[in-house]
Amino acid sequence: MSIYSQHGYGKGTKIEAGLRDGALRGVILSPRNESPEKLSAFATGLRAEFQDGVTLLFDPQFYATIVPDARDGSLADYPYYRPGLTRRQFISQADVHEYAADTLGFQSTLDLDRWISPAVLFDDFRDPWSQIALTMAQESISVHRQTQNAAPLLLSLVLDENALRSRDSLDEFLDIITSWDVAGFYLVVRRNDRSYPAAFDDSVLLNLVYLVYVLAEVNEFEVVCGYTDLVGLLLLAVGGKAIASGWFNTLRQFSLSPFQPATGGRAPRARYTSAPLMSSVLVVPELATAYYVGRTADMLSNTRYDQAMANGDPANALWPPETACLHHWDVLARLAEGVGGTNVGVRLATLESEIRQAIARYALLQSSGVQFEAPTGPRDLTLWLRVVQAFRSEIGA
Amino acid sequence: MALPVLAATQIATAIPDITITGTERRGGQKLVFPCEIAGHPWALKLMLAQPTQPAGVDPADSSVESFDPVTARARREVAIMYECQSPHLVKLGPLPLAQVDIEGQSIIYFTEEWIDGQDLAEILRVDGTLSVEDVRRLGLHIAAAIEELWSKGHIHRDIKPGNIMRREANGDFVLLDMGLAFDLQAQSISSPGTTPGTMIYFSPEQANVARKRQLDFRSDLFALGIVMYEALTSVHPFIAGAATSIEVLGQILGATPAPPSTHRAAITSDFDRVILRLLAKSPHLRYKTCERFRAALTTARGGGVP
Repeated sequence: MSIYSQHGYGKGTKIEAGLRDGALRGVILSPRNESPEKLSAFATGLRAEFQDGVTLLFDPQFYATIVPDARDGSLADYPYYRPGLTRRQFISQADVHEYAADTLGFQSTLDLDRWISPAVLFDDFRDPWSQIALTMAQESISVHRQTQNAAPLLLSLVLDENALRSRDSLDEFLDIITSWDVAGFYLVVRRNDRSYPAAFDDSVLLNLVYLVYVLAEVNEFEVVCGYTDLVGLLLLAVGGKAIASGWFNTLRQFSLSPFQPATGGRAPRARYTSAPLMSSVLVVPELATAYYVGRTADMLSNTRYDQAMANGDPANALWPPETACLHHWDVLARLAEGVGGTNVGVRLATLESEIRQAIARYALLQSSGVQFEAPTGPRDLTLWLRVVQAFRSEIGA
Repeated sequence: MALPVLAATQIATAIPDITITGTERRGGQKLVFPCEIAGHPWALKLMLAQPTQPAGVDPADSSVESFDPVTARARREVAIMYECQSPHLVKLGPLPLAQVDIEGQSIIYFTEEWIDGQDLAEILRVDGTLSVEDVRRLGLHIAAAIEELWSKGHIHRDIKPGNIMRREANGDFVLLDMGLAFDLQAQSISSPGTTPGTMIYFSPEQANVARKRQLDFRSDLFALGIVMYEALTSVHPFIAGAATSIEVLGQILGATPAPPSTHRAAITSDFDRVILRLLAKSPHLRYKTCERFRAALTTARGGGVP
């Protein structure tokens, strides 16, 4: 159970600091946000400093090739990247093979622990893009088999959350991919709700948990869940090896919006990740209100970073984004450790207990006058509780 | 599918290299005679060729090649036996596939290894069950056969007690009858809309004709799960409340089987878990590889049950 950094724009020294803290165990590199030379130098530097203590992965972000007029940043400088592809360019198996060969070939130039296959995003397990994704995965397996000294291969699955609405089509998809001989999967789920944290539908989250459980626990694949935030605790509890999260909300839940034409926006409000609440609350007004009613202790995570919040009014505390990010990773790592256990039944029982306690703390805070906005209130916890209970019942754990 | 009507003397006349040494056994489409060739025992398999013309074609039109599913299956069976080396798959004999006319019947025949022993159906009919350790051997041996077939891209599709022999000499189990084996790369031999096999040993996905080409070795693991369950308990896991094969198939599709220990208390929870996992409705909930199944079965506690 590990937390990886989802690399993105403006990394500063956060990743190195998170690794030094021991909160992070790996990094998923983003070509969109670094030139090939800088990314290579960054990876080399991480390896030199942390050696086997860091798992280095590279998300090729091939899914951006089908975004019209994509804001692809430095991706355009990578030799495997083809901007503006349409379905027509995926009809030929030879073309798909070439995309796979080029993408994995580039990764062979980096000192990575796993290679990640290229992928396209699909909305439904039965749509044509899903078939293209399967072909691309198979071609990646074929290329990987023929490559000497290759790192173990993770097949990339990039899907819209709506694909997870139907268990029947998910079952059929799983029947196919579980027969493949690969080390594991890199799973990315596009979220449709733009708010943070994005709301999940019960059946979608239940099927996501099932997907990870089948891949990781039943079929013993290594499953790395990209762009995953606190909800990733459920995925770790059912066998996921790692979840990846970053400093921006767009690095904590996946959408194609960073690749699409900019529509403007405003800076996100400062957040504080509360271990007792298993949630990222707003510093103002939520944490600040708790301070005024004397209940800050019920929300504090007590990491090495949050002394500023413990020592006075959070509204006036020095809480720069870098600190908030390192604190966030630290809390994620601690919560992940808390739901550790020898088997999935134990882990889910522990997680359920943790969720219940967090819901009880929310109730206590609310009864003391702390009001929460809907996304940062207990909404997600009650959903997680329903999902964990339903899943435990389904697998008899 | 009709069986050929043949006497041993007719065969001896038509195939002079062979000495028939016993009485025939009748399968669904085959007659099987024990025989000797150059002093060694073999099994001689004979089938009735049944050429059919494609629909809408004048039978007199010699430009259209007729298709014989029996010959095609026999050809495939022989090819599979030729390429597979596992000691747990029956081997091809010295006479390759050939055709001979006997009394107006077009007969396809070939020889295969003669296995001195009993088939599992007969063993279970007489003894009721196998010991837990013998069921473990059964699982390990037939899984090795499934693995070998799958490594060549084949699925057996008809694993059942009647197609498994136990060698008298060493107690090893051997999988027979690759006549229904499915080659993922090859053209389909069975008619459109049909699924060959023995219905009460079908996997849930095997019952779904639309998914015929998506089958893989995990379908054979499901059938092996039924066979192991029967060998442990003398009960078919999906028989409860079912009076016909169709009803059993309905249970295969929808019912959750009781753990084997329900029928035989001394069976350990380890064995229960391994068998029930083979019987999972979805292939992705069974074992990812035969190797992993064998590892789980090898380490499952037998509980000292003989």
